[in-house]
Amino acid sequence: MRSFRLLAYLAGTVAATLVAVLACVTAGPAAAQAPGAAAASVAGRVLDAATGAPLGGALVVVEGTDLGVLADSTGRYLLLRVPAGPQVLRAERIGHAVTRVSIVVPVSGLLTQEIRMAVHALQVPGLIVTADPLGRARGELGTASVIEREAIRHQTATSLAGLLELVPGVVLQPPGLDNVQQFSLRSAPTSAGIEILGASAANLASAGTLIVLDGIPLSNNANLQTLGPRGEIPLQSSAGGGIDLRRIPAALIDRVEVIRGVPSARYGDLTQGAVIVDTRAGAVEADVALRRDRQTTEVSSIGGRGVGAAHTGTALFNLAHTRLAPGLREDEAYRLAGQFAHRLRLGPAEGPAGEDRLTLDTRLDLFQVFQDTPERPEIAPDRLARNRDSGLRLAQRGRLRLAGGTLVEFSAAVDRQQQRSFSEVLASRPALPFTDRLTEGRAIGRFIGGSYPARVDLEGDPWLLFGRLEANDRRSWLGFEHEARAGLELRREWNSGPGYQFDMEFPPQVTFTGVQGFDRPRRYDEVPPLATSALYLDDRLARVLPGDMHLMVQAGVRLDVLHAGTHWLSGSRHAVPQPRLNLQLAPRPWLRLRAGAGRTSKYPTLADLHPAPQYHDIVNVNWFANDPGERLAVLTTSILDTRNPELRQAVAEKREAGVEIGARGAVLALVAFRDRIDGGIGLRRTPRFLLREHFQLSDSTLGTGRPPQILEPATHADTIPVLLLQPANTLTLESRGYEMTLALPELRRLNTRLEIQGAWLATRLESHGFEVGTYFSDFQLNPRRARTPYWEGSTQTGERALLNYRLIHQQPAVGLVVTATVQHVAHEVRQAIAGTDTLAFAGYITRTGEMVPVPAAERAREEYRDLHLPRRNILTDATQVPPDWMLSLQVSKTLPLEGRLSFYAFNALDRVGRYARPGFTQRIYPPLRFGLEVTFLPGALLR
Amino acid sequence: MREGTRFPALALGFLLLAAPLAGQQGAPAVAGTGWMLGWTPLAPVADLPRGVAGALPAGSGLLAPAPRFGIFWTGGNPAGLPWEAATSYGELGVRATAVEGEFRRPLDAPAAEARGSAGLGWQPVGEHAAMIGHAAFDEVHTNPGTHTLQLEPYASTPFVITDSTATPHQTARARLDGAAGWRRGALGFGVSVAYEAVDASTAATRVPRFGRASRPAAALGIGHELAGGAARLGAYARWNRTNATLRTLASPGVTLVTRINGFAAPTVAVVAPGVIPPWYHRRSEAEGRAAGVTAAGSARGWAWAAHTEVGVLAERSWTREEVDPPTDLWRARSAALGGALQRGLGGALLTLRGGGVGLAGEAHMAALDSVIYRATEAALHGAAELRWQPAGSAWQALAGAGVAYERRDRGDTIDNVLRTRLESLTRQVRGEVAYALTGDLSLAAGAALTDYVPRGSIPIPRNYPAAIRPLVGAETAFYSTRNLAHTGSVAALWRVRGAIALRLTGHYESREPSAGPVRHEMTPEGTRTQWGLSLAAVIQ
Repeated sequence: MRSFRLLAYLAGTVAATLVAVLACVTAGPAAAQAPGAAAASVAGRVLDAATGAPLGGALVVVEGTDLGVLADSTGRYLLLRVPAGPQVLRAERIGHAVTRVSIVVPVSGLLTQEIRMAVHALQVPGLIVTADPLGRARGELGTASVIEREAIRHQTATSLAGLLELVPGVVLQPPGLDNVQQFSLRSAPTSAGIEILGASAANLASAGTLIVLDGIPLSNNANLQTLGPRGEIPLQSSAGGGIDLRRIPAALIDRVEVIRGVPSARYGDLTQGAVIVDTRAGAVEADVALRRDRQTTEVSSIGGRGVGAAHTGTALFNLAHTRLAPGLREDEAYRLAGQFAHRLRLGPAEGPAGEDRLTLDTRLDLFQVFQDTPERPEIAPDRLARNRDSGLRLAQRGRLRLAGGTLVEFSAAVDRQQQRSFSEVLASRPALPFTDRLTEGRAIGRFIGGSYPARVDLEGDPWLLFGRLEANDRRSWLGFEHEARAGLELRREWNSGPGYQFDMEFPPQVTFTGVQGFDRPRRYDEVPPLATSALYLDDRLARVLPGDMHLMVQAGVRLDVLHAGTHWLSGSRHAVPQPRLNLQLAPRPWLRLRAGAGRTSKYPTLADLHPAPQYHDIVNVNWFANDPGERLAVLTTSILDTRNPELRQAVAEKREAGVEIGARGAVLALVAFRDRIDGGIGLRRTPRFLLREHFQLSDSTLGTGRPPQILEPATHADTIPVLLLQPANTLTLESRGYEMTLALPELRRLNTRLEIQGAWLATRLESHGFEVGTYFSDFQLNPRRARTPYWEGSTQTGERALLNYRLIHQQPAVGLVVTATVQHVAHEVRQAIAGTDTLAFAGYITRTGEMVPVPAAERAREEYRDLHLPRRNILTDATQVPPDWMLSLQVSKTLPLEGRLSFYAFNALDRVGRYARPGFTQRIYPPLRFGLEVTFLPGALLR
Repeated sequence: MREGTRFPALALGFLLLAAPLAGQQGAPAVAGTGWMLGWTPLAPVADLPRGVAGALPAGSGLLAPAPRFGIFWTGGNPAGLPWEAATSYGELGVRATAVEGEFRRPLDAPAAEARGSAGLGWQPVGEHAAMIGHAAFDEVHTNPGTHTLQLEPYASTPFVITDSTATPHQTARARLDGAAGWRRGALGFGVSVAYEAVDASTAATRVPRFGRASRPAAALGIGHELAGGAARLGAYARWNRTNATLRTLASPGVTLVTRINGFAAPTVAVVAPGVIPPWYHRRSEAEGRAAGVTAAGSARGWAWAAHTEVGVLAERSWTREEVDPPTDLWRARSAALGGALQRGLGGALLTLRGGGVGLAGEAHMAALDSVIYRATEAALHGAAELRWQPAGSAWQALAGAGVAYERRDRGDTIDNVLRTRLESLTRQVRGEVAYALTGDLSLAAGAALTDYVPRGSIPIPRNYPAAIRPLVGAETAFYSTRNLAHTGSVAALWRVRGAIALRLTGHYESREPSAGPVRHEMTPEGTRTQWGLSLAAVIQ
């Protein structure tokens, strides 16, 4: 029944979208504006806030649309066919701060709006220093948080992760390059009381949060910097989750759109949402920003200039360094990032005013993030690690305005990274029979052991080739204003690195049970590429209904295809049609009701599709003598193929509903959501068995100086149960919650505003596989044990309620802005759910790898007494963390010569966190961190 | 049992001089600019830190603005700001200072270097309001370090956390101060806020220590103009709080750590390889509340200002990280009175300032159910300054003199073994001359001489318990030693363009014990020198 409803929903959406898009494309450019279509004109002047002088050449755009116009020499502007309803005007001009003005556009007629621009943003009254609660991502109707440049400058952040703290439900973290920074939208931390093999909720959620940088997605799908399920040696890597956001400096970002709700069909390879990042580019006067606190030093610079009317070049640079544990260790991280941007504008076009016929954007990005944990010989000898991620990306985007107004956009990018991870630990092992055989079969081994530095080198070179072609058109048809688009997207990802390397004499990872064995080196350039393609259609419709109600609908469908081979013509391995629908109804200018539903999908990664083979080194003979010359080790190597031909994309169903109320300068936005990912990729255990041959020895007398020989044939053989670990779609991740944003009107006499953000999030990660507990190793090696129990998969849950209070006090006359953020963690609990009593087992595994389920009613029988074992190493008690709060502070002030000074303090009141009490663990807050940031324009010094 | 020192006959009058950088023997922090920061709500409440020499009010050089007066500048009442900041001023600069030498207190670092930047400015906002702001950020490196990372180890509270190591450490300190005032008719309202943060840690040690603290502060004031502007009367309330955390870790290895917690018995921790390292945690939260009355005005050619303030301080400290831990308490109350006079005398400007503070406090330890320590302290100070510029001359001159008297009676109530009764008299003379080479360039040079003369009674240092003898014994020996400080300074002011000028200042100070009647076995020897260099852009 559920499938039928889904199918009907899908068919309906596809049909509606196709009809709308085809109608738009086939309708003539002179399509008359239908009755009820919502459009008016907006006109006014752009003035200098201080002098009142007109500002010619200012670009005025309607946010979220492609409407834009340049003000004439008297500062006048005119925007035609502006969609009715709440909109935001944005004005940009060199030498002035970006200014945004909220307006409500009538159904028809002319709205006059004056825009006042100040030289320095801190002198603009009503400065927005937080995420805009009414903001919409460009071309999107789903719930979004829009973080503008001024909000970015008031958020103390070293990387993109710090900016995303402006999104409801995100915990504040100190600025810096501390450890790997991944971001999970709409997800709460879950219990660690039980391990779910292969993935965590945080990894799944961060991998499913799409990051788009300057129109091109970033991808972690070809990141193979992982040691797999054993993970005996720690690595500082983002493999398995989302990308490490340290690579994107906050100082170079111009705007961030966080699509928390249902994204349009334009965006794929995601389950949680999308973060759209635009870096600063354009003809801007060169500025330099310096930041320093005890742990982090950062310098950023950006400058751009136009060459003639057609060319604009921009260069961005960032260098940051963080001491990760000053006073304690010498660990450090640094980042070098830069970008060169070039824009070519050819025009003008016949379309909307201010548009060029052709715009070509070329971007060259480079970055390097290095984290080093050096050895401390006197404390922890032979323990060190370092990780270096660097990358180079060349991207080309173009916008071509065709006659008739159709806009064609195309993007192409090649993204090449180099990932180097090294880790060393002091391994201490007994003498173990060892073989380095790389093929199946029996071999004479040797004994290794003792204490030695176990070193691993992981050298990966991920590549991403991306291309997209998209057509956009705006038409009035059937009483609706349409913004339709259709696109094709192609991706190919691979890894050309030398791979996982180590000295075979000193294997870093050993699971020696006499059954399993040693890791083998593996080349990454032998892993086949991942090829995917996508088609999408999307239409955004708007009209005014009777009663002056504004209706907007965004409907689209996307088809993400995971190809069977390594190229885009190789046929489909798995295709996921993804209908998406967002509705917005504004019955009154101050009220918006919204709802959205849709499906998204996430591709498997290269590590999921092509996991390393599983080696088993079964010991046939383990003859150990004091004299090395008399020792004999015979091992049979079996290689199990861990690839899973049935592996598919993870599919997410997203639902949300919300309401936005805006009146008298106050805004309240409430959203309820539920996201469910089915087929999340974890590790599935499949019981198998291997045969072990036993031999007699020819001469085992000690003191001969020679090893004994085995006598063929084998005397007998027995079976050894093993578990094949394969990536499989075994996980379900469900998140639900409520988000609230309340922005109170400015208290004008005090120049103070208060904004409150809140979120309650509940996340549940469920494993649909089975688990074998801690008894399996003994079962493998003990032939007298005929069977061992297995249990149903377990579940991790987590809940968190957060409230953020942001107080903004501004004194435009002196260019002063004080931003105080109080984060109140009102509720936090995590719990693992799993049966732990002696009758909780679901069945048993035999020595030939057969799984035999036992009905619940029969488990207490005497015949199963040997299976009545408690499930060990599981903590199912709820972990509660006491509620507490923390304050962060930023004070910004203009300086002479167009400079700016900012002071910031994270955990400003030095709260240490609540102490533990019965039923609660201790809440520990990060340390007090504070510093200064100075921004200045070198050119102003010379003027 | 006790030894004593006596005041010698009052020394000859001293000449001159300027650039007082008294105190700051330990960490030469970039502080505010003398009187320009006297209004900050961060000023201690019911606390009288023991400086290196007596608490003399800071002066300012000839190339800096002359001291201002009023209920804001003198009394710290922000309601006075719109009347008293009618013109704009700003400066932004960087500074570097260094101090070294063995004539020091035991918790002062043998050597320290500091680098910092600071900015300060005020301006009227419209016709009826004014604002002032100050920001400073500095980093101090000590090598070797001291036995404590406590913010102010010589405050009135007896709870000072030290340990036996003195490894190099680094301290970062940031501070913000701001005030705004509005005037409506004869009434004025004002608010001032401030915040200071400190983060310190040791480096290259097996026993790393971490200290951090935050200090928010605020004041609210009201003022009223009387007699057509001839006088202003005001009242204010002030609050500040200090949250401080100290933590000591021990890295695995053979390490011996001795900790001294106030006057409790020292504890010794032995850390062996493979053992989970122990750690020590101390949290302190102090809250000060004060209220005061301020008045200012002018009569018969004199500008005058006066203020009085009463304050209470409550400090709670604990070691165990648990809900409702056993808590050590320090409670103190204080009363302060101060005033200033200023008058123009032809081409000269005469400024007189004076004041005093009295404090009484008592401490309770969590483990004991009674008062274990008491302190009764008082400080008085007075200073005079004369600035003179003959009409039509390129020369300016400044002469000043000051005197400070302190009396401190501190001691435990258990066996009275730690009791000290010390009085001191500090006298200072200073002078400075400046010459305008051109219309845009001025040079100045100055010097000062400060004489610290103690008297009173202290325990014989060798009678202290062995664990605290190097710390408490050496401290009392230092404070009972007469010493002399020589200070010199040079400055240049270059008017770059319009209202913007650059000011370069250098100063040097040397302090050493002078001939006295008694030398204790723990009296520090040698000298203590300090130098500093600052460059500031001044916008006037």
